[in-house]
Amino acid sequence: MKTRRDFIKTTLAAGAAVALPSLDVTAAGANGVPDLITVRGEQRAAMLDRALQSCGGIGAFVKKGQKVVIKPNMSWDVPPELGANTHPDVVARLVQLCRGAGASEVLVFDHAIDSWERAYKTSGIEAAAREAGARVLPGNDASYYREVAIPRGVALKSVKIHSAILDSDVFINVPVLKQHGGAAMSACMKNLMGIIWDRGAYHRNNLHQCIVDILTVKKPDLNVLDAFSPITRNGPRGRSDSDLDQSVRQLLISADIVAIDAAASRMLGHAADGIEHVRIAAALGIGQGDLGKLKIERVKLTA
Amino acid sequence: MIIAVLVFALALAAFIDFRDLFPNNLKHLVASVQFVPSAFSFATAFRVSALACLVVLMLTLAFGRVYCSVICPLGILQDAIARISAKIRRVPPYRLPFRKARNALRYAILAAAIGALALGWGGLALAWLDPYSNFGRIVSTFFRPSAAAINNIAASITSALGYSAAVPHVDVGLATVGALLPPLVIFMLITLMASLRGRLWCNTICPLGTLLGLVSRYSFWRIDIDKDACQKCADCLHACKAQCIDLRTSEIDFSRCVACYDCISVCGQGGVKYRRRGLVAKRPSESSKINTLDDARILANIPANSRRRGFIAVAATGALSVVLARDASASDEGRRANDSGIERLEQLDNPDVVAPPGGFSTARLLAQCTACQLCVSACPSHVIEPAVLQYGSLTGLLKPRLDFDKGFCNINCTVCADVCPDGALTPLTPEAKQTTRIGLACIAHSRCIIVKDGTACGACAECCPTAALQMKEIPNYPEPVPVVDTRYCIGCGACQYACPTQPKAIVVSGLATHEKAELFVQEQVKPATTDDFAF
Repeated sequence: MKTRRDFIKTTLAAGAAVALPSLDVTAAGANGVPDLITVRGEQRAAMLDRALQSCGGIGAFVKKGQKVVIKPNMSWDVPPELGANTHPDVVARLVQLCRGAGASEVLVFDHAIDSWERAYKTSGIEAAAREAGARVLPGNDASYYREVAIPRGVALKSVKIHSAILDSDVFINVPVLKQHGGAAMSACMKNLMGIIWDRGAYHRNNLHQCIVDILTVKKPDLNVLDAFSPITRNGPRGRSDSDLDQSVRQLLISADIVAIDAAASRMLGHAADGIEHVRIAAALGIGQGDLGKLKIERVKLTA
Repeated sequence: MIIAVLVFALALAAFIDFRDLFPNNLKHLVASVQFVPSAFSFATAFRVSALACLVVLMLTLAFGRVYCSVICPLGILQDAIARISAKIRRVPPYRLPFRKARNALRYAILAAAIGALALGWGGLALAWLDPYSNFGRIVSTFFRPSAAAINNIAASITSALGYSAAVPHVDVGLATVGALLPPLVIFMLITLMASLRGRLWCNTICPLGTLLGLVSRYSFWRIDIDKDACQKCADCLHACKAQCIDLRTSEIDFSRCVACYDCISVCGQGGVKYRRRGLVAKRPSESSKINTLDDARILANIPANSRRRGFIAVAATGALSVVLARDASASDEGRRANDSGIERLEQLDNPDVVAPPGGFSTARLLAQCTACQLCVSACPSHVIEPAVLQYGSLTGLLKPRLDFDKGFCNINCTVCADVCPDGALTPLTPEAKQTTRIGLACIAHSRCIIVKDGTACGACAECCPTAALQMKEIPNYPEPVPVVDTRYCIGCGACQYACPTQPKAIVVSGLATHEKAELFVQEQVKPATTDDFAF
């Protein structure tokens, strides 16, 4: 118990340290908050801290006493250095920050494709998130999911969503950027296939449209995209570390899931509207797909 | 008693463990000290665990059938059944009269088992007669799903109380009817026999019990009735679960005694003694007890040691001859499946059975596997299930096969072969596992969502761990479609499991002889953009 108390103290201190300078930014004017922030750097946790600083700190998204759910990509029984899952450093830092901001509970889960126990373990996320103070939930049984109607859905009229998403106050989406054999790109929108029960239904009923349809009922409050070393071929699982582009070294955050995916598509060498689900989502007004209309902050952190 | 409970608890836990919490090497250890699995590995691929069968024989030669009382999980299960049944019927346990040995039957079954081994039918006979494997099947088929179902009820209660997912839901994994029936029949038979007649199964049907009974005739220490001290109160008889104490002649049929020692502890007069053979009065009845059945006399008169050697040698030659005989036909089949490019709807609809990695070939697996179901219950991906007639013969009944409609074989996982106690599945290193081809994926583009509906899918390529399956532009199709490069495919079934359409557009067909796949190696990717931020 002692270590837990110590841990909460330190994370509170860390959270405050991040939150304090950022209060100045918001004080300077709400209009000054960028729509999309990308940070190039060497350490993922520091990059996340810096990115959040530009939009008011984690406190701009998480209030005291709120229940937070964090959805990383931890679908694969693949170690962190192979880039198939979100890096545990990003998830752990995010959990720490949420606890520091006074979240009553931080939940982490994914509907894994590989055996969930193995994927949770090998990805390193389960251990890191637990140590940072999160509760890690399974997603392997239909009983964890609840049916939600999608009145504005084109291909999908209803979908079963994990109850952790439905019952939380704040929803933070933390994917890793990857080339994807089926959907061309896996970033923030594609990552939400891990909050639903029946993946097959998406594949059967026009994959790209389904990826967009669910956003008409549930959108993340914050998207954090780990683009430190994206898989650029053989995705989304990747075959070896030779599939990774180690030169990218970025981390993006945005409350606009379309904006951040449009930017991500550029990083994989596509046009901003080169990915079908990004194009459909922008056309439906889910978010802003035109990078020219966004206020983007680009930060370079020197090590 | 304590050892028996401990051994039983470990064996039970190894098979029930639905959350994969029990260490795999311990699972292997618990199972591989059992006699038949150990004898199998002695005969085929020598491992340390192969010594266990020698230890059991030496123990029997020293103390009698202690294996049957404290090591054999099926024996201990029968004791548990007898006690529970006595409780339910409100009668004291056992209190059975002395019965003559059913020698004709038991030696006939032993002879049949050994004969089957010699004829290369060992995979069939031992699978059905080995007590450990019968125990494994009963626990894996009935106890494990029950325990998993109870876990799921507990999971529902805890989430209803607000502790969502404190107890994770698990796959109940109930076997198909065909795989459920045979163990059910045996379980019912054993329950009936144990309830009414104690260790009748061990002393008439179990060939291992009979074999160890023959050895125990020469035991160094044995239980005997002290005719001077015995007052013929019959307390020992009432405690005996093997019905082997004959008070009329004051003799104990030590070949049927399962060395539980209950008679010694229950005797208040010191009339039942455990003593060295030398001290026992010469008994003229010894030879007359042996049945007149020829087989039995021949078997009984061979010294214990050479009989074992004979048994092992016979087992080895039996197993080998099957392997050699069947491997020839197997390899053609492998080549047939290896061709690619043409749509083989009939192969998709009737794929060949897939044997677990480490089995090397269907024939080898069927000859050595005793169908104990340890791999079935240990598989973390829940993809291994007991075959019914998929292997095309009775020998294959309840032996492990992979069902890719239920799950897929994780490329990094080596659990099934790690736990296998009899060497039917040989352990693979993680590197070897990644290139062990157990089957090949076949695609029918005419069934594929991309072709049929014109929408994106790629669920199969998404899951392929070897990069054998890639989305490629090929003539006649406007969009990229999945294409298998058979050089890299290992037949893990991830693609088949992920394929969202019915009937499946991609199906893995098993190889009768497993192969080594090539490793997909590429150069380091070039950076996608040269710009600092790319946008």
